[in-house]
Amino acid sequence: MTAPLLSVEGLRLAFGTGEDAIEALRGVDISIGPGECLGLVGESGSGKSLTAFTTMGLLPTQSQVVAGRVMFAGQDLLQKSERELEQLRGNDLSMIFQEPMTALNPVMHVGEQIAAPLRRHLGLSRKAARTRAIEQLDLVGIPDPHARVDNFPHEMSGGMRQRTMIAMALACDPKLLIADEPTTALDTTIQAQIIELLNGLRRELGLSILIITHDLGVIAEMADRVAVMYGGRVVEESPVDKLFDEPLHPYSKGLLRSTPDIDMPVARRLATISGAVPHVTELPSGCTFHPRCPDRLEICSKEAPEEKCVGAGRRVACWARDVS
Amino acid sequence: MRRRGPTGGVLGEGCVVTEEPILKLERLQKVFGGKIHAVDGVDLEVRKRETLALVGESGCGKSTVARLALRLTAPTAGTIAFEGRDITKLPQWKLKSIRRRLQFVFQDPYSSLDPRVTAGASITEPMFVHGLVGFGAKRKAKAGELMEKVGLSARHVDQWPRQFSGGQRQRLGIIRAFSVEPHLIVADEPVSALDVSVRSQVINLLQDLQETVGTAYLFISHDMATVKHIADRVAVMYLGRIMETAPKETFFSAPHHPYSQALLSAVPSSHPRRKRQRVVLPGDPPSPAKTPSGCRFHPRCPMAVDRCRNEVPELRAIGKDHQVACHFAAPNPLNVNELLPAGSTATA
Repeated sequence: MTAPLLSVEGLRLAFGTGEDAIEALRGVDISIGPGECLGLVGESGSGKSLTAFTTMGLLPTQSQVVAGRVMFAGQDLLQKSERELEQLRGNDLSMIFQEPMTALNPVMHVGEQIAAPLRRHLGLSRKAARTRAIEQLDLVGIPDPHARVDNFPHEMSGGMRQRTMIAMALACDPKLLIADEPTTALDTTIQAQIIELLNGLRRELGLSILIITHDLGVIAEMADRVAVMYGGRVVEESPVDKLFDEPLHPYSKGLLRSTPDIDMPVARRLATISGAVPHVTELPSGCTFHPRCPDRLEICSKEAPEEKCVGAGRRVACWARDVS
Repeated sequence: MRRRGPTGGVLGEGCVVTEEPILKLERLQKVFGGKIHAVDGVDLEVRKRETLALVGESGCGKSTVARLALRLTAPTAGTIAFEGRDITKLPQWKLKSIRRRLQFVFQDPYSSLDPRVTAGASITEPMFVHGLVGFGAKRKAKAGELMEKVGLSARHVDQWPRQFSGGQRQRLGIIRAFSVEPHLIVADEPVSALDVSVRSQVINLLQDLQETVGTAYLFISHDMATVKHIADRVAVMYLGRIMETAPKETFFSAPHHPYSQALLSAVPSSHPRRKRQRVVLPGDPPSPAKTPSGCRFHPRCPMAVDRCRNEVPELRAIGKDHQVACHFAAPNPLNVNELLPAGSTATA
């Protein structure tokens, strides 16, 4: 296996300090190889977006990294100064967000917004950057890019704004694109367009993608490997088809079973996971999934299981899978 | 059939159950600001005890149809009939008697409960308004009883909405609607805001309550997988008009309208090895302020011809319970051989 492009190792992040500290990330390990697409899946509050933001060096206020490393191309991003990070962000690492309307500047032409990283990182002139911006808009499939370059974000539709975000993120040929719920706010037919676009760009540009989503369908369409997060940890990691064939962690199983499947005959009742996602301030002891787990053992409420390797590329953190 | 009959008491004795639809919308129109045709001639009916899913993308007017059906907003033209009675122009004070039988569940569990009213008081409000529950301790006891029906603890009747999670709040919203045993519930994206693991619980709850009370749903959704699970019939809306209505089985196995086909093919696959053949639609839905001429889907339609640009296709029956608004819709459009002269066959 080639060296990973990005590896997050034992990342722990807490809000507040001392006694009152709330650990939101409790030892996250993920890695992405060059040209690979890793899907990070989980429900609200599982820590998937927080992992992405920390990777970008965009820590929320009042939070601090307690332990761990974020290695990108051989360097620990957590040790970088703000200035060094600025050199990397938008250049080697880029990010797109769920709601492009809030991520784009509403009073700036989209062309200027795409040109900004080009001028900053590649030192292009205003004119050259504009030409590149038009090329970028064309690359992401925006019709009539020469006219669209002078649009304001509100003059575009949701799908076009997301394309613009992607154009901006990819302007400086980054090695890694972090996509945080990029299709969640979009309609089904537009979601399909954006998925096709990202898959195409990945092939064309050899891009690595970290896709963050709660939607297993998006994972099935895009990811090579999947990491399932729950309660601030990765509970299962697997090649994508293996996860869908045979999920190992009770939470992954529950997620897959409780999602209505359009390709399957309709069952009378949907399978469910009992209870609700715990709030980050009220995470249960031991394995954070144990109060909802059908396979719970006695040890589960006492001690958190470590992630263990269980076959090719598969790791799972579950006491009940600890046999043999 | 999985549905049981009415539970009695609701319809009352001597009430003749005819096959008249519970809700009937005819030529319904809603124009905002004189130019935005949000709903532009919708014909739709919801039958007793069935679930009709109204699907479409944002801006297609499905939520406006929901608000019109509830008479939360008045239509510009057309009629709304509820249980055979024209309620299009009914004044607000007369609507009260109808609202006991016509309830709603909204998408956002955070904004559909009054933050300054306790859970117990919120969910018994409809019963209270309609004089179905007493004061004080009686009302509280009823609230507790209702909460237990949706898997919440009766001990929490005095808690505030903010003390409940999203899924729990949606349960409160659902039992509030069901408390008066309505004949129809208009549910606008009731599970879209919920986490995956909670969503399936709420879908099951919606189905269980429907069975016990015998309610019909007008279920508005953009999520095809949920629709396939919950619906009996499906209606597809695009830019203010119905494009196709069909029984669920027909719709998911043989959708006729090119838009229905594209919509279904755009649903992400449920397994990485089962990627579907995509009909990727070009562009975005146009704005309802500038509806295209002829068939409003023609600028994005892979099958469009001149006729589509000039002539508006009417919704017409092409099979049992199956209506399509497309010039090309024929009982079996996929079978090319049927369209050719007898004796010849199409070659691939």
